[in-house]
Amino acid sequence: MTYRTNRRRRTGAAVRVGAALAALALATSACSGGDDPSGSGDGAEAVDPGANPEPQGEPQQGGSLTVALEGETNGWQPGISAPSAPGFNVMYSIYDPLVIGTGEGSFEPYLAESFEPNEDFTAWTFTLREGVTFHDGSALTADVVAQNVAVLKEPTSNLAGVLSEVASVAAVDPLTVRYDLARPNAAFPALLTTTAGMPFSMENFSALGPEEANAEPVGTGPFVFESWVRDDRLTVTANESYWGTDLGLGPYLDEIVFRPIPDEDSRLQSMLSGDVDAFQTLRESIVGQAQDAAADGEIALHTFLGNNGGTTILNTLAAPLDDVRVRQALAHAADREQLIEVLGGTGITEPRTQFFTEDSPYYSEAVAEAYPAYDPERATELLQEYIDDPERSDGKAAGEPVTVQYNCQPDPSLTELAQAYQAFWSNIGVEVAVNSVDQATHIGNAVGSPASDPAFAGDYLANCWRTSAEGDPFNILKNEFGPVPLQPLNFTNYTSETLDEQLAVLATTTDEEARRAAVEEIGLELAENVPVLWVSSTVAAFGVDPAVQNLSDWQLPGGADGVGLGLFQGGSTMWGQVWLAE
Amino acid sequence: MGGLIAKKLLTLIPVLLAVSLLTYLLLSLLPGDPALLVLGGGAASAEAIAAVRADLGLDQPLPVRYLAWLGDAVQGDLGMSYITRQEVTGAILERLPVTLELMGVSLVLALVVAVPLGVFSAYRSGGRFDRTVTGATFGLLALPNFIFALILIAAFSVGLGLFPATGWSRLSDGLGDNLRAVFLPALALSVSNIAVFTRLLRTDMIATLQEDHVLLARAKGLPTSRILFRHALRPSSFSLLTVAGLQVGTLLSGTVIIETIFALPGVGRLLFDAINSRDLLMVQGVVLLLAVTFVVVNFVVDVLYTFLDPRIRSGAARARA
Amino acid sequence: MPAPEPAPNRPGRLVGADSEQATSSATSAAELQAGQFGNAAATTEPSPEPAQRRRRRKAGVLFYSCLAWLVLVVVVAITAPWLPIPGPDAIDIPNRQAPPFTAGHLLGTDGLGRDIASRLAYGARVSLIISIAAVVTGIVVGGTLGMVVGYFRGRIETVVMAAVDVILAFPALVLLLALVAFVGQSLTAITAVIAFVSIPFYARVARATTLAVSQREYVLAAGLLGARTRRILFREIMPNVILPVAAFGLIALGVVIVLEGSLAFLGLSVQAPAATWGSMIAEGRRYLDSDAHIALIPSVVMFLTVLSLNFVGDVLRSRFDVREANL
Repeated sequence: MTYRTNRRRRTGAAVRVGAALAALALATSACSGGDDPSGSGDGAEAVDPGANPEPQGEPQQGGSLTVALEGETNGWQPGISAPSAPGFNVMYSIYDPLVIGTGEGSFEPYLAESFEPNEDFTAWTFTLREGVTFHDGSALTADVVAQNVAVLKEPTSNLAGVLSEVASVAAVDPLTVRYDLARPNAAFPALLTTTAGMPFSMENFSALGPEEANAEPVGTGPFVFESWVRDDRLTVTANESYWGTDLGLGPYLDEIVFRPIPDEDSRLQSMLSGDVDAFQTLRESIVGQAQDAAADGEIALHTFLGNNGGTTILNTLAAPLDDVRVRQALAHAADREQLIEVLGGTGITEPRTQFFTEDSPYYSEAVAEAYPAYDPERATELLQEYIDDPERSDGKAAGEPVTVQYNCQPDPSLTELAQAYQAFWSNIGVEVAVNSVDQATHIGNAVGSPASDPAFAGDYLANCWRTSAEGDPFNILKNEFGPVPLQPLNFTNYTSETLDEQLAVLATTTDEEARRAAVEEIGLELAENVPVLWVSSTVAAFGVDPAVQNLSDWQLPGGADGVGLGLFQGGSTMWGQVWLAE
Repeated sequence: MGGLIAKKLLTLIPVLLAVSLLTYLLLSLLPGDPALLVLGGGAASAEAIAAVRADLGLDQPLPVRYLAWLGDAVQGDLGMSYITRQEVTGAILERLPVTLELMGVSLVLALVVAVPLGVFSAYRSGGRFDRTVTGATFGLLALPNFIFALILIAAFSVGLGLFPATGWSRLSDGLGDNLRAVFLPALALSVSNIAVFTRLLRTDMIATLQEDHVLLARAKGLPTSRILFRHALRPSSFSLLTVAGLQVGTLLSGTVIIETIFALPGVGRLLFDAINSRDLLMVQGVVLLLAVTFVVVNFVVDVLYTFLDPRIRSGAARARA
Repeated sequence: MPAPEPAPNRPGRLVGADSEQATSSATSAAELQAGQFGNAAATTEPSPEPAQRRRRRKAGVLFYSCLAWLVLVVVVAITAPWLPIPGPDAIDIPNRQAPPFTAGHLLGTDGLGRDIASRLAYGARVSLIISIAAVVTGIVVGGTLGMVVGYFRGRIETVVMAAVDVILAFPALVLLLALVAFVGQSLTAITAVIAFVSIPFYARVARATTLAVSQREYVLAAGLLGARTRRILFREIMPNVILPVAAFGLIALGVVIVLEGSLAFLGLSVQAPAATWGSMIAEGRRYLDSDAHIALIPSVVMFLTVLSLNFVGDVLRSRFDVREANL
């Protein structure tokens, strides 16, 4: 009997009840949560998303599935491909990652048999499994992995940044490969859980060239790429000679058709009309509707609440947000529970205060208390202090109102979120202009240009954002708060000596106690200086036909529990281990 | 007629040049660096950005880039997408049949519904039928197609199970499946056209019904249906035909929303995604294709004018004389 | 209660004077309304010229009720700040998605708890300005261009129509994105773009009609009689051209209001939280499943407005049908 692996289960209230009761609770609270407009922000009503459907019976062989995904991906060749949640469903079907995160938050070998750091975490040695072949018949060897890295480190590769800390890679023997790092990283394996750690066939890559290989990927995964019509469908078939079959990694299904359906409503409708057997979403309001369908028994709903969260990033180099009083005022002014209500997430997700949720070992109660609570009076005070300051940073005369531009993409629920922020901030006297910005401009503004001073300072004040925090805290936080000119991913441009010190601790120790303390230090500093305004965790969900089993309970080769739908940033699963009940 | 075609084809060239130059200028001026998006939205260093810009040719000055693109385009090579690494020509050709079928079926649906509605409401102008049609057409106009599309899906796919909610079936998968897949999107796309066409035809028809040749036909005692469809419809179709021709351009914008909602692999979605990811060469290619389609369709419309009303042909001859 | 079939629509009376046609259209709709209000008795009242008189009076009923609606919309739009309604941007999240006739919210609230009635009133300002300005600009500029080139033909026609083709063949989406990036989401900029991209439609419709009209006997005759070109254009041709162009413009009013909604949907319309009818519909889409009224109420208001505009337009056209006078 497998056990539910979702992280939320460890704290959820419904966990102590049996699975059937939990399902019932989910059904009833879904109803009351949806119908009762006064239920806004009533955290006690939050559904325990740990109550995911458990697999029924023994795995069955055979069957074909059509899976509706949120969007299309630009291709499948690591280095060119830029998958997000929908794309990783395909990537983990065709490729295997060398390393994978577990339900306990640790990182374990997957395609690799084992890995080992040197003493100061500057070199990591990976041992590969014997007899693993790519779909084209070529063997997975240390040489292939080393050649892969060389391809991925080319300047035009989109993984060059991630792998910049890898100084060199050497094949020690046919099945042993060593990564030598430019600086210590105690959490290096966590970087190899996604595209940077998915070996691809060099035979295929050299024969077709990067562009063609991008459209015809060859990996070692449980499914073999069959065909792809962009924006329409991608078909994979079972890998008959999969290395993981004997280890219980599947594949059970004969065929999967992945269909990108970008519109949230029509994706749900496609599920309800029976066009597809499974659909994926990251939108709270759609999860709410899916809960109703699940309560009727039409579909089975799998959800995952991870560390990935909805936020607003503030540019701490741009006036007036370079003044901490203004940032604190903005944080105190907004009621996160009402913002969640606007997103349709009441009863589905909960307010956040930090990079990690209560279920993560890195969650800190102290940070939760330190994060600015909803307090419009305090917000007004802080703002007034700034307004009356003759030396105020925006160069206006004392007494003039503060103005802020809030940028957001034209997504229906985000547009409403932006307007809710605007209303909250207007309440304390901030003049807010809401700009609707397309995705390319939005990202471009946040990153900024190498030509600016300092480089990558960004060209924005406040951006609605999704802060991804799946993975090891060091890998995440060093990107978010590294030196501005070197680290384009430091969108908020917030840096400090404390952060640098604590990041150095994270880089050089694997001691859990020390790492937790370092993350807490960082969290306290961020809660006081608020470069990031938190809203809630992003819920990732799959609604499936009730016959589809085992989305949330897949396992690692050694039998450890996986992260369910928490692969990448949430919203992807290991389709190799999914089966169809009769 | 041959001369007319040659002359029209000559005007095509400056139109295409102007359109492609405009697109190039506007897109280059838009904020958002393609290199950043190629590199995955931020995991980049200044060196990597420079390398990608060089790789894409973005380090060249704008006129040089435009002329290089033009040179290749003349030879049929529209370049390679920055983001998907696909040949632009191939990507467009793969998607063109979907969008053409969608637009074609939608126009036909709109005309099939609008022509009889327009004719009869003009004939019985002010009657109960006319009032119903007027109300219904304005109702259609007031409902945006994205709302209408969702209502159609809820009613016909989820409710009745008659049509697939989303997705495409190629003609090679069978005509039945293909038509089932195209019907709802085409209908959703045609709603505003049904309304516009009906109104236009009704107005023109009311005027035509008072003209001498119709009065004459009436006096001769010809049957009503013959008068309406043989004598009155043809000269009443000018505005309708003009606007239907022009709709080829706007329909393509409409397909952006419809193709997104119905998840169809068409050109509209390609264009919108390409604009949003600053995939300059892809946008350029689609815009060019749009322009060509457009000019050709409207040339056909021009020819149809002379067919509908012989007086124009003599008029054209007079103008040239 | 069914209204009696109006007299002029017997099959035998296929063709009538233009004015009578239009009046009868108004008449029958008015009768429908009168019937609904239980006033049908009046229609059976005997009198020397019953049909004639009835038509005139009933035309008034519908005409004036449409006019009243339009006046109401305009007045509400102008006086919105002084009306006893909540502010259009006053969010009230605990009371979001309230149904119509909720206390304090006559038409309910939207997804942020804002009063729908209030947003309709303020939205009328933006929607009316955008649609009327865009359509009038289109008619004046496009209609004139099309008429002139349709009459003179030759090289000027080739050049103008090529320019029109460039505008048409150029995706408005690209233009809008570029403009929004530079000018921002201002009312003027968006109106200008919509007007600009609609010019070709009016130009082509006007040109097509001019092509046909300029070969008519009376136009040719005017030319032979030595009438000046300007006189021929404005006295003989324009009255014929203006009908289809204006008919198209009236429909286009509705199309533009909806188009503005699609733009809002793509994030290319006026800056939030400013309400427009189109953006209200677009925002209501999220709640179509549970609270359809958020999208449907603005749709109905738009429907009534466009319908009224067209009825009023029809009647005015028939009253002032210059073409008949010119024949």
